[in-house]
Amino acid sequence: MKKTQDISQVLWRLHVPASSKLDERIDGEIAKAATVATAAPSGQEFAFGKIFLLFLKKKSTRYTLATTMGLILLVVLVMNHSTTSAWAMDQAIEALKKYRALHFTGYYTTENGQTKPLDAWARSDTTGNRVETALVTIGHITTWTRDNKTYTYDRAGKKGYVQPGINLINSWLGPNLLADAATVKDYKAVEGDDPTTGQKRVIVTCSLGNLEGPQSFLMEFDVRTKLLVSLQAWPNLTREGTPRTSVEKILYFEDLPDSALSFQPPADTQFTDIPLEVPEADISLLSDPKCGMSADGMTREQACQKILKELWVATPDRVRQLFPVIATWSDEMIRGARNPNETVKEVVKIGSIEQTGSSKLGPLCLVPCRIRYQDGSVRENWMVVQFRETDRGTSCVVAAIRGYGLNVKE
Amino acid sequence: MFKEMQLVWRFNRGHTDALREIYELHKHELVTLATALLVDKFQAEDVVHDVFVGFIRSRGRFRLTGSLKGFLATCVANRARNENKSKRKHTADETVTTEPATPENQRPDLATIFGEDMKHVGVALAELPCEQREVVVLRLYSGMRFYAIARMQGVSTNTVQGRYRYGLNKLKELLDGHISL
Repeated sequence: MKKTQDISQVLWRLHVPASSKLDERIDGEIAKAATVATAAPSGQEFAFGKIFLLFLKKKSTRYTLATTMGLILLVVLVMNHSTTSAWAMDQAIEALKKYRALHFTGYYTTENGQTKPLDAWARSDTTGNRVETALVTIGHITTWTRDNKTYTYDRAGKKGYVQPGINLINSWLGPNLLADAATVKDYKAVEGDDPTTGQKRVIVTCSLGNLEGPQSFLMEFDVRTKLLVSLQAWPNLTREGTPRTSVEKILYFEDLPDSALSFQPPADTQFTDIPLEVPEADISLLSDPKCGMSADGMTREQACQKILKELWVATPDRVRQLFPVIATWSDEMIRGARNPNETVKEVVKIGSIEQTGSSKLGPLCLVPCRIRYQDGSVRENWMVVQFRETDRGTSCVVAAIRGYGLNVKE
Repeated sequence: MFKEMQLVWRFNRGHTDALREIYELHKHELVTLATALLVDKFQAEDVVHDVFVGFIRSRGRFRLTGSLKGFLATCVANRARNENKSKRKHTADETVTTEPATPENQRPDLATIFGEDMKHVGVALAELPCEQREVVVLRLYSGMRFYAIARMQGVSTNTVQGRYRYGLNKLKELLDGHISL
């Protein structure tokens, strides 16, 4: 008598292929379904431009400019300065309003030259101001957000990491940010025909420095839809070498279900804190002795409290001094002046040091700051403070913003 | 799983390519399952067709709570059970006067359906009472849990486990000497 396992194996060996007749019948049903399909936006209509519109829909984030923001800034520039009416910003912003989520695919080249596939999903919050949830996979690394935390799973190393706050795609572009960004002037736009699609395209090149360090971009816009259709970004100001990021396709969605943005690592995955670091490119800015404030005679906790309390209510010049990485920002960008969602009303609370790390300059501390904005919303912002030990004593500067938390309960 | 979610999302949004992909992904497995449950390929393909038609109709409001494969397999099993029931009713109505049915072990079509080397499996499955066959196939081929099968059949888990034991023993006896592993 055979064992149960053997019987099971016998059953698994059963294979009855679907006949071509069934295929034809199902094809017929699918064809019928296609003819009555609802006019849901899809395919070409969804393509790239609309993804960017999503970004456009978002408002600027005080201090929080990451890679995405850089890209957005570029888009804004194009829209503001192009001589063609195709770039009318109002239309683009209006078109973006109905999209809350996006998907983009492409490639990412690591610092050691390895090119890895990139696949990203993101959804804004209900106000359309910020990224609420995102899921990004680059090679064997998947990063996702849940409950105001950012998780990373390394399939190769079978390791999990977690950090407080949403720290994937920092900003969702909005009208105010567009207006702010219009002050940046480094861009070129050239219009031409794309023989493959028969569409008119605008190629834009520009560069800027932001929290991610120096970056330059080459973007392709569709003139008709005013939407971005592809993008390349380099980690330098001159588009030298292999692009760090190459986005080849973007799709825009009115919304996405949670299931599309969730990721389930293996059940036994242990999550540890992501090491606290600052970008190598920022070290020289952070080491400037004219920046920051003295921390002599204070504990690190006290110094963090002092510098962060001051940062949020400081004048733009003082902000540049305390937070040298954003030294190139305009006053209006620093103030978030046009945007009540970004303009600080008061500091609700500066929390205790949650994590420590180190850079070449010295110790790093991660501190949550609870801020109330002019529109009444309250958000948590996780700030990185860099301590510097010099022969003139101990000092500290604000080094980075590392994520934010939505819907904070007071 | 994530890919399934994407497919379902696109399907709900009216992307027929997603529907086609879902069909291509699962068609052979569903036809095999239906054939194992009905021991009749024509009926099996009808069942799979009907399941897909029903699935297409749910577009725009379909909510995936488990795996899509599991959902479709459950639909196929439910429809196959209905077919088996109506077949039995039809057979009972036509008793007495009609010719005796061909014994399962003499059905030449089983070799065509399952392949020469697996035709004994078809014969053995056909010999099992429908309820036992369903439990054995769903448990061993589809990997469904007993409580899920019980819910489907509208009986207790104990009953399902009993059907599984009886069905399995009979299957072992019937296959003994016919199938090598």
